[in-house]
Amino acid sequence: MNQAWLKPALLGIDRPQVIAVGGALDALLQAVADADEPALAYSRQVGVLAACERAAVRTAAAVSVPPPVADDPLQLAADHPWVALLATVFQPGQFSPWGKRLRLQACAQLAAHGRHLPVAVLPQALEAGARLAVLREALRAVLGVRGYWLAACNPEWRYASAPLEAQASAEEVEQVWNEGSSEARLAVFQQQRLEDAAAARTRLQDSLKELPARERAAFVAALQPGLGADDAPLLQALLKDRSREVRALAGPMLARLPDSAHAAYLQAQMAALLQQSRSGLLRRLAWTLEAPATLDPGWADAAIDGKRPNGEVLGERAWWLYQLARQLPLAWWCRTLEKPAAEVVAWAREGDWYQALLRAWLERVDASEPEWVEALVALKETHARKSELLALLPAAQRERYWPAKLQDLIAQGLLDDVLDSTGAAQSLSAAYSQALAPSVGALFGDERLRYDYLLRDRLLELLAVLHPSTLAGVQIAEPPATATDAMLHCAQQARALLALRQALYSPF
Amino acid sequence: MEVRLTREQVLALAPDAASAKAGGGLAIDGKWALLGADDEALWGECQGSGSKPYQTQVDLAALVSRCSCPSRKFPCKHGLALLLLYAAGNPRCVPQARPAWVDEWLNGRRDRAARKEAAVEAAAVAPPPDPQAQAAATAKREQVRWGRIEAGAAELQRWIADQFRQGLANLPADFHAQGQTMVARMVDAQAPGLASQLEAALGEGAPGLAGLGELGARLGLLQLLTQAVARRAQYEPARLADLRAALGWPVDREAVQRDGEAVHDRWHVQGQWLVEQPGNLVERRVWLHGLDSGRSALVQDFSHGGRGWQEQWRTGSVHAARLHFHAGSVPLRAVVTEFEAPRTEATTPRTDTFDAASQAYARNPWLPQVPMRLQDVHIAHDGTQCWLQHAEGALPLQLPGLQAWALMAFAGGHPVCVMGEWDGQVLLPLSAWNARDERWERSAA
Repeated sequence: MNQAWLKPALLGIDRPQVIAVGGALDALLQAVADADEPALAYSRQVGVLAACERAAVRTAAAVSVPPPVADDPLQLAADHPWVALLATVFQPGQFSPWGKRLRLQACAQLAAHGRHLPVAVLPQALEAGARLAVLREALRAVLGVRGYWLAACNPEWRYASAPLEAQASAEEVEQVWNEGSSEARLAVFQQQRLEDAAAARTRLQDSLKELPARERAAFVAALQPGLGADDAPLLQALLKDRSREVRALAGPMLARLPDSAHAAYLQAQMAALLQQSRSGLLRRLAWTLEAPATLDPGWADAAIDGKRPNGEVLGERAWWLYQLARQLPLAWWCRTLEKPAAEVVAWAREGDWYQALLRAWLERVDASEPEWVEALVALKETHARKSELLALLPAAQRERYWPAKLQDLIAQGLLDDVLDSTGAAQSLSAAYSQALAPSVGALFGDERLRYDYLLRDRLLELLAVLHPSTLAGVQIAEPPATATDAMLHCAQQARALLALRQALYSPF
Repeated sequence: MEVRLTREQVLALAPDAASAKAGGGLAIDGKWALLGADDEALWGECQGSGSKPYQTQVDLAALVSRCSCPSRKFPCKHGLALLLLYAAGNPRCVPQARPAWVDEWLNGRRDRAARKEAAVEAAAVAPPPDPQAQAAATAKREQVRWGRIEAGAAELQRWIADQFRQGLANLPADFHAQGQTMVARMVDAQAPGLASQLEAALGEGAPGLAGLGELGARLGLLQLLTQAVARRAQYEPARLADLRAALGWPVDREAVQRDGEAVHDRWHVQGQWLVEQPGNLVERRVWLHGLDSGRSALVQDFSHGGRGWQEQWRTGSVHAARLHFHAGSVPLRAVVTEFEAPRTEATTPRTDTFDAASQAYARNPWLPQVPMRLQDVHIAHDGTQCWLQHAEGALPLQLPGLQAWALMAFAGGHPVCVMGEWDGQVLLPLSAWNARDERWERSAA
């Protein structure tokens, strides 16, 4: 049905008009048009056409139907008791910190049982993954064929593109490399780097020109596994990359290759700044460090920026020193100064260039060097980044830094550290959880929750990171009779959270 | 020894599968702070998501439950769980003193039943009213109402013609406000049907160009209705009934039971959904298909304040019942009597065609919706909207956000059977089946 009537109706009807649509209807429209004053008659004609239109079921052009998906024997059946549980866990809504952890734990548990998410929960789970990047990795393990199929239907769920089969053919790999999303390309690259490091390097070298800066940085970071002397020429070239992010990444990687010219250059530069002399009453040998006094023309090739950026808190010489130090491996200091990490840090603290060195080391430290982490955690200057540093330590080592009583944790303001340094998918150790568990439940009836809304959230999150084996020992206390709605709500949430976690860790 | 319900009997009371499952999940002793029973009633307190525990009670004689939870399902999961605990012979469900709130409810029920009985008796004893006088009074009331509707329709007719005269592109700035005034006038004229259709035509905010076409078409349809009011004397009874339904003229349930076409059949529940209306009112629409007669029927109930429903229909099950159809040229809406408990029966699914919907709308363009059950359809999603691909063509589906993706996930690219309401423009899916006889149901709006 065309809308021949619309144009006159838009402009206004001030004289008799008959709508002509052709066919038998015209006689009727003519009769309607003749019967009354123009606007009224016209509105009735429109009504006649609208009535006809209703009776015609108008179909749209054929839509592209997605291909049928194969059956997944690992998918939970619709009548499985976990379906309701997972539906509750993945309920759409606000993502609280504990809700985030709960979702991750649900994915991990389901994956541990070797099963995939049920059909009814897939849309909510994919939507949660779209909003929370941290969930994605865990989700991929439990999506199953149907989940990947559904994700492929919705552009917003592209992050969950199906992983390539281990034995994917070369053409498939090429297709993903040429047409896939940036995440999919990165995944292909990471896979190739593990299987054939040289081929991956060549691939990156060939496509550097067309990659935007952010992606270049991601790909360069992905070179890390299997980094070897063969990568040196590529990294050397990247030291002059347009993007500061890429330069900052390539320098330390190259410095880690002991035979590279860059590593030798950096070490020579730093060694020239270090001097050993006898000083003090006992004339002991001691190391002293001086920052570079003048700009070195060679720095331009070593990813060292001679010009201090605006707003930089370090002075010019400290800025140069910091850039040198941030590229050097931490182990070099222990080796050169012949001191363990804690003493190297203590030595730096006595010197003039502490701020520059500390900043460089904090940037450089990672989980592979726990003695450096511990040396840095002990400093009062790193207080603000304590939970970040502690997160680099294994759970048992980390928990030594905290009191075993919940009351003390709260009193010393350390609860935030405990939670922030426990990774999203991790839980506290069984022993430490055992120590905290009895007092967690009691706190839900505590008067402190009346005004301290942050504590309410923190306690709920603590409940979400307790080791699963200790959950049975948690008894959520009844809020006092004078409790506010928020307190009651908090206790209620705690009960629900506890029940959900217990169900997640009960026999499948 | 007393006869107790079985678990199956209790689950048969559940309004849908989700409630049955949720009820099963709550039927754990530990979830109930209080449990108790006596010969007449069963009660308990269950901790829900609210701060106060929900007070749930069941009248064992009538198997009717009441609960302080806000659920619109009836019986709610708490009622079911309580019955399940009782059926399982929970040791705490033993005779004990009733709490006051149980007594109050039971007494209330008893009083109401007694009052109703008394009223029936009184009506039986009272001299039968003079049928002639009654008929005359009814006719007079109807005449007064028709008079008001006629005046209202004439006013609406002039207003719509005015909009066409000045052109839909030149609508005045206060068009919406004017429209709302007209809506109120139609309510005053005792034509709520005109009011709601006009409100739907006005939509929200200023319409775009496509919206103006839609506005014009809806106003045109209303114009046919205003004309029909004036012409009603010429109509045959079925057409007059169509007009009365479109005007929103209330239908007396007893009159339908008495005069409506009655069909006794085994009714297969094809789909249902709850629509929340303003003012704490919930509308339930249940679509049935008669296995012997092949008729389609709509059972439409309203519940105020979560009072619950008289009959419990479960999608996919079959109930024997007598339906009394409202008059009209496309009789769909019906009143239920002689309702029986569900039985499981192998059913041959009915398949509709686009033609059936087309013919229904050709007979009555003011039908709010017709049922459509389509076999072997595919579900597709174009990123903004969900579509149904049938052998005859594609139809848009009205499904919000994640529900559309839930239906997509359910179908998985395989052919499914979809049942829904077709309103002339878009299909509102209510339930779907796949080849393995698994079911998807639209969740409450």
